[in-house]
Amino acid sequence: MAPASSSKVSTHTAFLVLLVLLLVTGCVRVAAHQRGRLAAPAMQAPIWPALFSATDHVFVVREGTGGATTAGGGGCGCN
Amino acid sequence: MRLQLTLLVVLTRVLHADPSGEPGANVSLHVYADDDHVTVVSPSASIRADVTPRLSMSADTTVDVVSAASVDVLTSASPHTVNEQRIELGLASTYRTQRATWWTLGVRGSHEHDYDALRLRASAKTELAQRNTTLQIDYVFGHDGVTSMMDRSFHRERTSHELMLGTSQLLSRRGIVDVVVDLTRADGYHASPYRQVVVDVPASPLPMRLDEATPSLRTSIAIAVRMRYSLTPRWTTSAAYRFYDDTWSMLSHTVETEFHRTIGSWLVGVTLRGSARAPQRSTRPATPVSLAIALAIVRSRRCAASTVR
Repeated sequence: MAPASSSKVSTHTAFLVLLVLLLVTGCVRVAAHQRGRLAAPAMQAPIWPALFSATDHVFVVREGTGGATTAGGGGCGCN
Repeated sequence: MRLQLTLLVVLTRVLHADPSGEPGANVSLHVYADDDHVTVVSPSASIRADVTPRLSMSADTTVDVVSAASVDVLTSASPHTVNEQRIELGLASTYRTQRATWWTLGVRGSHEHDYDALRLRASAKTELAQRNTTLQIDYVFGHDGVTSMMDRSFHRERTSHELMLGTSQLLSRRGIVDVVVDLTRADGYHASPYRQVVVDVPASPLPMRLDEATPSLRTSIAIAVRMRYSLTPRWTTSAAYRFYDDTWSMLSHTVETEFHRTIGSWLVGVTLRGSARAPQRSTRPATPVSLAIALAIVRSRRCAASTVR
């Protein structure tokens, strides 16, 4: 019953998007002293941890879909 | 279309989930309501402490107080109202190595009168290219136990495996992009023991009630791209898109945008979220489109100090 072709396309698309973004953005270098704006609390991910965890649980239950909601970070230099 | 409203008030300082965040404590109140007459009030508390310069521990607890129409309201138009509570506890430990790498182990459990869930998480995160790039990998094992208030002998289980790969890349002095790929495989009981479908049988004077039945295996992929950008020293914004597809032929597109304003030691934010879903063969009675608005007010000691020009 599984739509195998759709899942294959999704998986290939995922890794293609990941690869392209890494290649496109990999050449950017922002020095530590240039990251004042990036270190602001509002620039962290998730910005609202309490809101994020609570709403994510509600949306998963109410919508039946979920995942890919947490983010990596950003090397903000705040520690 | 379903309309959803979410309000968050954090009564103490911001406590980031990021392993590199500051130690501290956090108490918050979260309220969710939608036009299906579902209301969820969730007080929560969390604490994070450094055991050693490299090892930190965190703990959190949340209580969900849910008031909703019966779960079968969409299929059977039951007039009953459900009031229930869910308590969740989480523990995590993070070890930071010298080379800006974090290793995290965590356990999270939740309990309801008819549902128990356990999650075990292992995570690794590292920063590369002079901390311009962050890579993260998460694995989560889950075990769920489902019982029924109407049948004490009823017990079903489900196990799940989730793998998440994420990367964050600095784009400029003001912008960051995140890309997350999430693969999930869940095997076991997915249905609700309370949800039934009424079927008219020509030969019978009474309609037949059939329990909800779903496939036992569900695998899914979700891909999210998020951009965070600092507009001014006090204004920030973010925009995100998530694609979801699974073997139940559920396809969804979710977009989300946020705006935040720092006012002294307060951080005020508004989130707009839209989601469109196309359940082709799912038995879940999903609303195709939903629009959510979230408001958040947080007091943060870091806000005033971080408005760097």
